[in-house]
Amino acid sequence: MSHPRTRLDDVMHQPVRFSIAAALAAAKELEFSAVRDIVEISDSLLSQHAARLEEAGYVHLRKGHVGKRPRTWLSLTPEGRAAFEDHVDALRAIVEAAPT
Amino acid sequence: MDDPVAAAAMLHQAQQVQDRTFKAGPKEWLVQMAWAGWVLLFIPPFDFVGGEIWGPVVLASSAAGTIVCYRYYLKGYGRVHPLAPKQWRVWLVWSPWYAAWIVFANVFKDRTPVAATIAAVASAAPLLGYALRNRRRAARQ
Repeated sequence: MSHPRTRLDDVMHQPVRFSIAAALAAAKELEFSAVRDIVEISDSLLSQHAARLEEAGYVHLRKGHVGKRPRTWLSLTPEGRAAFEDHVDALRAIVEAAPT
Repeated sequence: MDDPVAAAAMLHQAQQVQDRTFKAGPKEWLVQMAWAGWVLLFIPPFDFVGGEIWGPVVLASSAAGTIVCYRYYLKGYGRVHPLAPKQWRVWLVWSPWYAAWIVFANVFKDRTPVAATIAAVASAAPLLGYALRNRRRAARQ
């Protein structure tokens, strides 16, 4: 049987991206500033990692307006949600496989 | 990554982030508490003030409350759209309960001078209790 580390997702494994995915996994959709505040990162860092997650097909970015102000909403795609859950399962397996 | 300590730290971090996400969403308990408060504040005066005077006040305040709630949810859901908001179910259960007590107050208003107060307390109590329980749960997250 292969070690659970082999099931870790390279894109998800980056701590900031993992936190963004964790926040998005707890909601249907989050506004950009909400993700920034929840994950406690800067706008530019969030933009950078959100783009990477979008590129991997894990995050969907939706652009719109509230009044006249432009807004961006982020949500996990079904693939992103599955990847996050698999990653969490792999992390749990690593913790459980540790000798006590 | 083989380190179980690092893996546990990542899982802990994910849990913290998810707790913060739940907290950032619209606070259902606040809306439930506000409506329970509205019932306790606006229904008992029917025992002392005529319906033709107090009725329009109740109607106007309930319309204002509905608009405030609508705006609160619109703003809240626009920022954090929760995964499965099922709290609306409480309104499905509570609304007939409230209506039944209002009917009671109308039927018994000539027999007891505090029919509206009884109806207000009896109808608001379960909603208030539910809101307080939700608030405690939210605080624990």
